[in-house]
Amino acid sequence: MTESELHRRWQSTTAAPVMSLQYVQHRLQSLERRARRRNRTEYVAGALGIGAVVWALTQHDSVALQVATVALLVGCIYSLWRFQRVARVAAIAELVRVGDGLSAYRRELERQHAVRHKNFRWYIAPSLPGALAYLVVSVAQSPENTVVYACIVALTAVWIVVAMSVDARAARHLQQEIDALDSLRGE
Amino acid sequence: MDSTFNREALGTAAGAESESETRDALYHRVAVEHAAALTRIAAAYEADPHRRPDLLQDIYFTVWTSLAKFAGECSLRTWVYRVAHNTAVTYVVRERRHRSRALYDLDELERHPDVFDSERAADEAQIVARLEQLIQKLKPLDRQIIVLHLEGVKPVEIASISGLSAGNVATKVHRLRGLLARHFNVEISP
Repeated sequence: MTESELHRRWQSTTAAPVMSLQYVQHRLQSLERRARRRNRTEYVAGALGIGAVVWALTQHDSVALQVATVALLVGCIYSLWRFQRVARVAAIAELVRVGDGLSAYRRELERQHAVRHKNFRWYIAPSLPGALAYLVVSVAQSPENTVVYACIVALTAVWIVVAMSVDARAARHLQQEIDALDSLRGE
Repeated sequence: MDSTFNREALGTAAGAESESETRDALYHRVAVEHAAALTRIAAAYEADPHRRPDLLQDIYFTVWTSLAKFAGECSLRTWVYRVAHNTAVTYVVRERRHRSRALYDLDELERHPDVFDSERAADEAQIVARLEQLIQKLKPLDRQIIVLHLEGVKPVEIASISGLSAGNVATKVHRLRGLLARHFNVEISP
């Protein structure tokens, strides 16, 4: 077989049905509706969560516990906000990448790298002061439960270390791929 | 086919057309001129025939959305190929999290030809299917180059679509031709 014969065979495949303009419009509206619904759900869930914590705060007699809970809540809200920014579904305008393939591929890898790289800074660190304060206050109030709290802390620490190492490994692989792409453009 | 965008080519009334009408007209042109190529791009990036229409729909949708930004600085074909490949690459990278299938770059495929379960080009009816299998094993950038090469796109235009330097494209195309020659018993023309 000649090379041109191979090309001819490849190019001889027939076209699948084309997406009609009406369907494109329908899909656009459906995507916009879904985005609006998702935003609404997130806001309502956030408001309900904050409401529940505020209610729980009023039930505590201990000011120290109230302060710890507020610190934990602030940390969680910050982490959720960061996660929503980094990992959210792309908006319709962002779906369109009209640049060259190398840039588009690199951008996608970078986005994933940003999610994985040193993510403990924004998904663990912000909640840490509140969690520690909560723990200290709880131990001070019920010293008989110290062993239970110690077990919880140990299990959480193991989970954090495993999650961080998995993410770090993934980030390293992504970075290697990004570096390889950069070397292609430079030559 | 050179399909350089020219507003006059859309008719003398093009200037009076609204932006959305121009976009719709361009979309019709894409449907007429590039539907088969877009189908092949979807096949190159999605191995599962049941999921392929989803990717193809994503590609059409993104192409239509992108046409609002198209100002004719490159040919319509270059634009469509760029957007289609970028959409497919994003799809592959995101799907990779859910699928454990390994992807190889050209070096790996050349060093370990057995990763492509080739039965050689004995059954010619299966050539296209096996070509798709080979392409689907490649990493996105190499996949883009081989698909464009098979589509008959010239290296200069491949460089423009992919963002690689012309030298890199020439090297990759040369190696891809060797790969195709080995797996499909193709006689390489000088």
